[in-house]
Amino acid sequence: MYLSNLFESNPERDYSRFPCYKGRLKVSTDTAWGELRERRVGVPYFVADEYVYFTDLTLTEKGFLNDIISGNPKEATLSNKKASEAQAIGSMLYRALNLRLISLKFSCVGGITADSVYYLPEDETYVKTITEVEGTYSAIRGFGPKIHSMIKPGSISIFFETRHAFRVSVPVGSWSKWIGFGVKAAKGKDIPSFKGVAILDSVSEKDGIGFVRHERNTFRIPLDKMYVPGSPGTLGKRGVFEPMLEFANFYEKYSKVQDSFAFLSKVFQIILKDDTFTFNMDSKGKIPCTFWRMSFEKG
Amino acid sequence: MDPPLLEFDAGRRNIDPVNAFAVLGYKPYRVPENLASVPKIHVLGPAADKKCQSVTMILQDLREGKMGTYARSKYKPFLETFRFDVEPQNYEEYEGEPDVYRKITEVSQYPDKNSHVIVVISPEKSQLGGFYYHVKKISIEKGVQTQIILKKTVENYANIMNDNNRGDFQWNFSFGIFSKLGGTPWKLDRVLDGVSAFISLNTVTSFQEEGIIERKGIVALELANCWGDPIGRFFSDKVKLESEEGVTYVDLKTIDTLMKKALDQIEGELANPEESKERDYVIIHVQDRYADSVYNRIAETIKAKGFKKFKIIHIQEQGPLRLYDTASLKQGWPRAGTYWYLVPGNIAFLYTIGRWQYSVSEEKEPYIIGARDVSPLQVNYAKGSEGSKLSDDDLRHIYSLTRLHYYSADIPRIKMPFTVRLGARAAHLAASGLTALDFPISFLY
Repeated sequence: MYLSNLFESNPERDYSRFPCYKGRLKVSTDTAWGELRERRVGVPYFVADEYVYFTDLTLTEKGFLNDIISGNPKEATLSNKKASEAQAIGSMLYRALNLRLISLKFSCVGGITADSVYYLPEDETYVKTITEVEGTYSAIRGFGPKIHSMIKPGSISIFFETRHAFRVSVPVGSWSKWIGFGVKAAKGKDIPSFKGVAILDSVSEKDGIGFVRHERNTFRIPLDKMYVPGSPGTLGKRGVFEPMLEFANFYEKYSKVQDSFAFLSKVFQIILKDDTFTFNMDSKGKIPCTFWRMSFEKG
Repeated sequence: MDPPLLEFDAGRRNIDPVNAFAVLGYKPYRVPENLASVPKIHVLGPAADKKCQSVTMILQDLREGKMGTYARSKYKPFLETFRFDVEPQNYEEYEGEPDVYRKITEVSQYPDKNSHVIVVISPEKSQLGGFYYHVKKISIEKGVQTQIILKKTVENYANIMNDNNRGDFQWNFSFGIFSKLGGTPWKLDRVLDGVSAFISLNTVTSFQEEGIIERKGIVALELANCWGDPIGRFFSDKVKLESEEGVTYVDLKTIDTLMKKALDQIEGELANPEESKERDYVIIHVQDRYADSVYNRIAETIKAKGFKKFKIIHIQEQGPLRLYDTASLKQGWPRAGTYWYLVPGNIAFLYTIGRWQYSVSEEKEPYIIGARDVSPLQVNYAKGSEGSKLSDDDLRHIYSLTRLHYYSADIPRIKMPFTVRLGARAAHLAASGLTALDFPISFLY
């Protein structure tokens, strides 16, 4: 018998009749997304088709969404038989699961949905750092859920898979060592935005400004808003890519965890109870979602 | 499912080339017929690194054999294995890429250029558009076979590997050389029935690092017949490609043009086109997820060309499923060929690598070597003609196509169908400036 990293939803929860609330938007979809992100909304939500969908009525308490939706929210039922509604269910599940994993002390990099990497920051099983004069390189070895919300009418499948991310942190005073490398700018007011990476042309440490070149344009970026993406190309040029990749892929000779499943087994010890996990879609526990670990007969 | 049987010379069959050649003494299915003389193996190494000269040791062992202790590491002399000999040439140094091109050009002028292979030592792994791709591009354009080998591999061979590792290495290396000289080491023992052709659709977006980014999309189709034999390729460059939320959008006119060319080629290869177009499937394998508009256009073109049946199958190399063996308390490695449906007719997990009987001893348990993370392919049905769905046959075909990588004797370690893997390589070469289409697939090995 094989145990797996695949979890199927409890049949008692029918995802072709998924309960939630919806409020009609009085702003554009993009504005609603932006505002909800900005306000760091902590309950599962999704914006589509002139509505904001959510699973917890506390979201509308104290008029929190009055400038986004008109009137009172209504009860709604979503079905994962329809592509758009399956996407809404899947997205809200990702957010609910994020809250659950954060409550278990995991940190998350890379967003909430399919590219999230969850890890324990203080645990060397999850993080390897290499410090050089030009900066500190971190390989984050973690895990993330992959939710399939539409493949089976009425039910949901979730895989927990290993994931990794690389990060570069540049100390004050070392930016000049990155001239000629690709950099990005954090999003924010008064920060120039550009697609992809720009090349760092020069640095004024005194003024805290980096001058970057993107296509035919030159931008001034505050150094505290600039970062070096942990791309394989950049890490390779700095000679740290291989050890970081070895760590991320469990190829280190004396690794404490031998492979991805040994790693996931440690994670499962934290998040599972009797080979199931449950999380709530709302603060009152009215919409619990339970998932069962699947096993396979030996082939 | 059982592993596909492979056919060697004189109708001999086995599932494992290492077992067939090293233990049972089988000979290749077909030796090259167009060799004008004893093939010459040239070797070029970077002038800056004298250690690369130890590559001569690899070439000497290639010719003379290297007998390790284990069955799979007993590499016999080239002549004994392949029925003809090779003649390693003196080591030559190159200062830079122009010297490599000069050598390729020189060999291209030989009347018996098909009997020459140039082994080029690369200082490091190449990024897209780097040394490897430049050399391969020139190699294809000049019709001269090259075998690129990493400096690290040369050094490891001389200093770190023992005779078991070396024997193991030589099986793969020798098959690469043999295939590049026009040999066919094995073939599938039976036709992949119900199929008129396989098409692998690959797209690449290349980035040119000149100040910043220029996007250039490549769309490439690699074709194989119902035996898995390559029958051609088509590609188009400077194509508009866009990705949004993991879905790739491709210029539909390009898809239409390339598919028409591919289907014409396929039709020309069929023994009985009218019957086959009515009865058999055109199978399209894709690695990326494409927009519905792309799938719909492919469907329309196939229909317009008179092919009645088709399936578009998305093969995800890193399927998310991982298994834990409750008996051994270790990661689960099912036997190669094991599959399960997550959604019948729609999504399956297929282990093209897995536990494998490397040992000649029947008592020993099958095991897998050289891989610490064994994961299945995730095979998704994307679209098809009316009434079609993902079937056991589709999974068997994918499994069979993984067995046709002729540049490796160690096929139980190869996960993806050769059409998909080499199709992607062709697309990467096109992204590096290659424009020629009509070359034997062995140039992609």
